[in-house]
Amino acid sequence: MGKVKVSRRQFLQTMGVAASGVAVSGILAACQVPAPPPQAANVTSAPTQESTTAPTSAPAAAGGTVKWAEFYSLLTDASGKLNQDWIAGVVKQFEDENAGWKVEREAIKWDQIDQKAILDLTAGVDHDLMFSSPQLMAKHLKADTYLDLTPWIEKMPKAEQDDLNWSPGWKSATVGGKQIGIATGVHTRTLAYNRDIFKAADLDPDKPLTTLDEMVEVAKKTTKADQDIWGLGMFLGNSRATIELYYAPIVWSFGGDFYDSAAQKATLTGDASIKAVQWIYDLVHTHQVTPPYSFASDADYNNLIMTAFTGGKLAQSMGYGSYWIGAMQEKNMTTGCFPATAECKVGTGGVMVQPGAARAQFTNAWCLSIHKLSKNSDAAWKLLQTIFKPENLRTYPDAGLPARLSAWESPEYSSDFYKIWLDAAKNGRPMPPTPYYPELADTMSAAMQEILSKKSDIPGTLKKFEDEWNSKYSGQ
Amino acid sequence: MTRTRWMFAWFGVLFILLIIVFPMYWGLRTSLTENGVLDFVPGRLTLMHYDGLFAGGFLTNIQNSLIISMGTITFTLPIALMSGYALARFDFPGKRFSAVLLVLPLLPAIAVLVPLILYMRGLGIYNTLYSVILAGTVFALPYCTWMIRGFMLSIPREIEEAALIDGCGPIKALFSIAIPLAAPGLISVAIFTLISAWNNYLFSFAFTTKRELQVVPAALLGFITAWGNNYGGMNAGAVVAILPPLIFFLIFQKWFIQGILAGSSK
Amino acid sequence: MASVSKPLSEQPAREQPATRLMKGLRRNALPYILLLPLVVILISFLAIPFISLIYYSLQRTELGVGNVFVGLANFNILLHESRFAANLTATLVYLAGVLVLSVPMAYFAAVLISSNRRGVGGIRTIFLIPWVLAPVVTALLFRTMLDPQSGPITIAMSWLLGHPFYLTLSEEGSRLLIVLHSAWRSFPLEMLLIAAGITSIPQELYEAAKVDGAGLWQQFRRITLPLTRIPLFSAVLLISVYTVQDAEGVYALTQGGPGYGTEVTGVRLFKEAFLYFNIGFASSIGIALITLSVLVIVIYFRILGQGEKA
Repeated sequence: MGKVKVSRRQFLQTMGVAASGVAVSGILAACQVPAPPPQAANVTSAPTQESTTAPTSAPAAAGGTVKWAEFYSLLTDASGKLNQDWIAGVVKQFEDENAGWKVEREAIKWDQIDQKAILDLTAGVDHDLMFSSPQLMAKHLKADTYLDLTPWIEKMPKAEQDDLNWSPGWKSATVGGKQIGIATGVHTRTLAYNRDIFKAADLDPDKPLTTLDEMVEVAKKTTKADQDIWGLGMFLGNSRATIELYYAPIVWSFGGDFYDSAAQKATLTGDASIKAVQWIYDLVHTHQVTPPYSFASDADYNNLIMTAFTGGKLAQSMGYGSYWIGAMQEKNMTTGCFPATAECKVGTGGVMVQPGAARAQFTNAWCLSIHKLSKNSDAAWKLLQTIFKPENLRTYPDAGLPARLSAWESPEYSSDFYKIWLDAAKNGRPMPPTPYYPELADTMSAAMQEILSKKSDIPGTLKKFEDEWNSKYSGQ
Repeated sequence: MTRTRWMFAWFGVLFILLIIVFPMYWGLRTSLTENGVLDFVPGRLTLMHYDGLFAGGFLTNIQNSLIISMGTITFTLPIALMSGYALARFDFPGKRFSAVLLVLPLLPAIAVLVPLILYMRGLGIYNTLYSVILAGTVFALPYCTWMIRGFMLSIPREIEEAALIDGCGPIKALFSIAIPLAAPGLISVAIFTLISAWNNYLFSFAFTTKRELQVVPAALLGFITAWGNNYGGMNAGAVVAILPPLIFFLIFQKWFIQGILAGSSK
Repeated sequence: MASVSKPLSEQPAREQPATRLMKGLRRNALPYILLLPLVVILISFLAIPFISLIYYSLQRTELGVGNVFVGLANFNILLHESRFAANLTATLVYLAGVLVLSVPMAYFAAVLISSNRRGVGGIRTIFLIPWVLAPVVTALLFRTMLDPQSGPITIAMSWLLGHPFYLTLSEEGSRLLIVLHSAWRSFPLEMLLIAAGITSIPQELYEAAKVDGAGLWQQFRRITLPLTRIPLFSAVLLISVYTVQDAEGVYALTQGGPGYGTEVTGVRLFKEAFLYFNIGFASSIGIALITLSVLVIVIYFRILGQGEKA
């Protein structure tokens, strides 16, 4: 068997070596494609890692790559394409104006972008410009995630500063004497209502509701459960939207709060909190005027509030965001309101400031921040300035409402429709400034879900969840 | 079999077929119709969700998944082969510790991810596909080694001994006799590794932050609970994610099944 | 001692003792050399991370400060926390539910595919499909079917019951959903292992039982069940361990809700580690999860051991 055997053995060996060689080289080649291009040593500007270091006025280096972390997905997001196109336009403008500089877009899910910034800080992974959430600024301050932008801001003309620093989003990012983010717009919420459904129920669509009781009455009159038409749309699912857009405004309206900033404690068992939960509970279970699936474990904020409202299934849609004005327009519920024009007219879709004593809804905005580990912080600031050019900010689809005060004085925003939005924004409130806000939001939405799904005792359940959060995070 | 038993058996088969096929049919149907169309058999099909998927850069995710699956196999197979051969063919002090290989795959990977992140960072491969391949290899190795050991044990030792007497060294015996004879087993190990690597979500999630490095399941989980339930788009992604493991499974199922049985019973 | 080479090592001792020693070493060293890459990888990427896991579990992660040594405080919090008790309960309910649903179905399917009729091969192939798909993907398929507004199952059930039906509103419903999903994914593996056991049972046993007048159920109870005990055992062990550790399947379906109703231990660990970055606390949950897995393994081996003695 000798000769045949040897040749077969050799053949196999050769094949084996060749195959693994091809495979390995394939892998190596393939892995190298997505790996970031190595930066030449002279490319990195002097790292502005210490937040006190004054920045230089222009990008110090001749060129390089500045990373911009964003989250717009073409797949899940109805307006993803618009935002992606806008980003592409801004990036091109920046690259044209700053020869040698390239922008690399990083994509991180919107509800993970803040956590990723913190995780990567501990892991030593650098980013440059990043979108950030105002409700997490206390956490970012504690984790020291972002650079203080004050040294750069101070170089801006005073008028320019005042044009931007009025907004709730900006103010949320003013923490511990630092400015760690700049708001790109105003995300506020109103009570959107279907004027046709109001008229059909003999309600005056031009008379804004003022109290929570009125909201309930209207909801009772307009609910037609058999036709899947609901008096009041709410989202009480597994996300921080539950606390931000539904629980918090009601607690405020009952004259209380759910976090004691002085004692740094959650106060879920306060009077106002118990009343607020009871109010929501009654809407869902006693009056049955909200879609019954509003607290399902797989419920979706977009579907329940935006899609259901623009689909004509809701008489009132609570927590309707300024980022959805375009969606209303798309369904012809308004005319000339998106993009804003002076001729903006309300059709079927009306909005009113959140009824109740506080007249307040949660108001924030996507901020832009520069990561602590950024190696190109000056270039990142340059990119930020390009983004904040009035003409760019005006066309940012996800701005919600303009971040620049000057834009509000332009004729486009003079309509009654936009006056209501501005009123809502002015009344807007932020989330409590605890570094453990995500944990608090999850704890509260879990409490809400437990109460709604098990119909359990409200004060008792709130106490259990309050203890859970306080035992770990109070006083921090 | 009596008639009633026949009926009973076929009813059972149909029932199980229904619960297996229906979710996949509905996913395929949803991916091919406009959102909001709920007809059981849609009248008009559209490829819009697939267009959207690929316009959204899903091709990159597929490419990443392929690189990671292939990379995991490339590193896992030779190491598992060497070790499996050693365990099957040699007696040496300390061999009884190899039983650890049976227990290791039963431990939760998710528990050690956090220390591993710091590790990957230390190695300078955090946020690259290498870290995902490395983690995939680490967690595939124990089971694969054990499976290969099983296949080697099932090859009569006499053939190799004859070769050894002919003057071959053990390494030559491995390459010229054991590997060809164990080829079906190796294929099944490869398919198993490939499918597990393709389906893995955790490693990509834990070790990479960039969208252009995400694998298919990570991108898919991103669709869920992101903004709105674009069921058409999500299911188009699901259909694309299903295809490679399904095709590999259908082609190699005989070896695959053999491998699983050998790995878990020996 | 390298046993393969035993016939060779008994060669006439005409070599020098030193050469013989070298040869012996080489021979003995070979398995170690072959195992070296495996051992190095497993020690550096599994053993050492595991040890550092223990180290991290004794720390509290403070944002901006880093890790502070707190001794067993994390475990103390865990043991007294009602949420962790809820996590464990959810895990056990999940495990029990998956086994109760999937094992009978797997047995039934295994008996069906063990017959050598035509077409059985094709059926077996289809039966195995759920198991080769990614949990995230199958979770997505299930969500599509159960969407409160557009899911075909929601619509069909509402029509059948005559009133709106939403599975995920209650804790029980959400638990049922994760159990159904996991059982759907798990039964093929169990079926495969059990079917392998069934086909190895000599047909004569059944013939003999038939002669004795045993019915189908009697045959199953007296022959099939006892003789497939070992494959059933490995199947149940594997599925139990996977179920106890599952995070992504449940997270993709319910994210642990409503409340903490479906927040199984794996999901809790996932949230603490990757959403809150409480690395220390997450590590202590990781250790709890490992303990839980080891407990499951030990319990099964004890049951098997007792069965063997009996």
